[in-house]
Amino acid sequence: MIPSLNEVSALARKACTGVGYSWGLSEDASRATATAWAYGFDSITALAELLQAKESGKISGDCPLHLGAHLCDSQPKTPIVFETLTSPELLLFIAADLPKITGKSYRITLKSAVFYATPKDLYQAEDQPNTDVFTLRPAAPKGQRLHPAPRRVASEAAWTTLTRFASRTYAPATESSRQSGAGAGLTDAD
Amino acid sequence: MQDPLCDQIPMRPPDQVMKLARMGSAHAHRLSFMRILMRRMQRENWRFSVTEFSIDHLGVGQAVYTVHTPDRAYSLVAFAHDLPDDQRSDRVIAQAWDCTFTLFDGIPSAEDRVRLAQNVPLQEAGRISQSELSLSRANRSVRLWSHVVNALAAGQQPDPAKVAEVGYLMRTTAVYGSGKFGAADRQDVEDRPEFQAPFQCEMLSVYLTRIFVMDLVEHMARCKGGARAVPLDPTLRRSFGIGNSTGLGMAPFLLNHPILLNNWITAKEQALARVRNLPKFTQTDQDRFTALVHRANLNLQLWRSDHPIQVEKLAALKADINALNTLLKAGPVVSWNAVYCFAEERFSIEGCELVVSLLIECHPELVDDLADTLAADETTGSQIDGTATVGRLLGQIAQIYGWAEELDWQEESNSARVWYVSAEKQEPRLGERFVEADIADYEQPLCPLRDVMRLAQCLEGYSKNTNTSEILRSHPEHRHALRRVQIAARYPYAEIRDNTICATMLPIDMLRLKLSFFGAKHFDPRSDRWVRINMFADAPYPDTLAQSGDDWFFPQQVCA
Repeated sequence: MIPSLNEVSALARKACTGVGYSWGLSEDASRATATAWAYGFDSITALAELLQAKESGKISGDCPLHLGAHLCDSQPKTPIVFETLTSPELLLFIAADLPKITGKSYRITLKSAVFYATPKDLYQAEDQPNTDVFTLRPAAPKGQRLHPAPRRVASEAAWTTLTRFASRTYAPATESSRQSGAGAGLTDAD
Repeated sequence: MQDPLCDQIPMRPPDQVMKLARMGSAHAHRLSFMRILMRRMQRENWRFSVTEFSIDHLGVGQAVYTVHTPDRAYSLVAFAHDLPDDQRSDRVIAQAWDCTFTLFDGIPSAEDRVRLAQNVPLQEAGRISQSELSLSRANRSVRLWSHVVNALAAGQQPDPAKVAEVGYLMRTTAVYGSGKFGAADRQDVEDRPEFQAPFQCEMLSVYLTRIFVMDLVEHMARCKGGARAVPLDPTLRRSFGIGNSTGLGMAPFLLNHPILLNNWITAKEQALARVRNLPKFTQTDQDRFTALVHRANLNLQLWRSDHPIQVEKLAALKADINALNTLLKAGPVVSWNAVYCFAEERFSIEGCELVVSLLIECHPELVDDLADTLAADETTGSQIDGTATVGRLLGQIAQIYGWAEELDWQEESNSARVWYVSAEKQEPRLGERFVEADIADYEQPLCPLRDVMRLAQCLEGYSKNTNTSEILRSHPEHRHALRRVQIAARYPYAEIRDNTICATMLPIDMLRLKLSFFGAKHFDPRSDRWVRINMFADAPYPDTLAQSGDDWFFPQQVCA
């Protein structure tokens, strides 16, 4: 399966809703997953792992969707550090929304990788390695600007997992729904 | 942003424009997407060629139609099938079609053709790639297809009255683009000037489909009649459009793309305001407008519908056009704005919105540049500002949703409907909340008014100085509604100012608004959630594109 970004975005939104995230958080997660995938990160696997963890009750205070949303909402002026996280890649791309809100640039570290997010672009730099899982602080951008990656094959297992969660948002097919739900009952062979 | 061309009369307010009744009375106009495409094709002198036409006497085979723009080529790859009558369905849940299509980015290689032949006829069950820009299908009009084939095969022209009765030989039942089923994403092509405006890939696909279908019907007549067969009379041929049958899938689109919706409506309202602000209305203007009203009346003669709602609207529209003619014959009209005000005060909404399209039609020099403002970057603009206070948010809610403050949400009729997606081919459907057991469990977030009212109720429990970020932390269930309020506050025409889940809501109103922006005509509802239309009827074919200009939408004559 080589998905389009539209398909990544749509599946991510439905899968998040399917495991019980709110509609609004699912929207943010969907955008973050698609953006990360566009930049070459395997956010499909990251999201599948997160949703599986949530499903099995292993997510509590370290959910990247909740933390990322609050981080963007609260627009912190002092450095942020998170030490444990499930699927931290997703937090990177949710946090990448923050420059679009504030108009400022930020330095974001993810394990040993260092990124700079501006309102328009994302940069990766060879800064000093960091041992915290995730840090964020205002900073001027530097490093190499990241470019969209070519389309590529998604992990079949991760895609199947997301598809399974997404299918929970579909109402079961019934004859009455088929008849009344979409305006049928008319002849189309005319 | 203030438009210097609209310094006296402002744009119509969202509380007037964004009501479903008005959206459901919208007509196509100069900024409609197929009009934009036609202007570009003409301006850039696009060249068309039939690369392949291998269809047998049963109508089965393949064809490739290629269009050359100044910088690129695009090809419609068509697969024609022999479909039994009992399998012909307009629904998403259909499994087979008379013809299936894809718009290929370039000219397909032999390898591409093999891949497409294995996938395109399967539609949703197949898979296309980044090299394809759309995926679509069409079914024959049983009422007209055989009649036209038989007439042409016998060396005669089809009955113009029968042609006018239907208006098309095939109708599309879905035209997918923007990454659907593996197709190229919008981001892949939006930098190309020809695809900057919305839905240009889809419109190009439909335009090429119309050419193919006309060639196909003449081919079938030749197969049947041999040397006796004749081609269609050019005038009659031009009157054929491509039909389209549209269900509920389009309604969620408008709700899910509020910034895009805002840009479409803003462009149209800005165009209207520019015309209304013109200081002079000369005798030449009056003559030009009178001629256009005559052509709109011809168009009305071709507009058929059996649906009671549309029958009533068409009767009112006929009376409105008569009243407009009376006004124009009575003597000089003071201004373009006087025409609009006359319509707004006296006409049905259907009639008033036709006048809007006619006023815009008269001034290409004032409005055509607004085509560049229709697209939207939806990746920015939908972020939440969590530093906004509760007081500010409540003020925005009062301003945008204030009209609904008195709605009683305990009253079942105000939340009677549930938008949901069926497991059956993921077809969008509408259910009855208080009738269908458990259907609310599958509700889609397509009821912004109710959800914003729930948010407002939650906000009332907080101090007005509280940052909304604090509220969202404890109430993530309101996140989508809060985002909605902030988008609607930034983009004035982003929100439908109506209740999209009440018992009396008509989904066809949303479908019609979107279809009017496509450039459709002859809206014919088949139920409250299903509508048929005609696309590209009267549009020039490639051979007359250069001399036809963009003056084709309202017919010059009626063949029937």
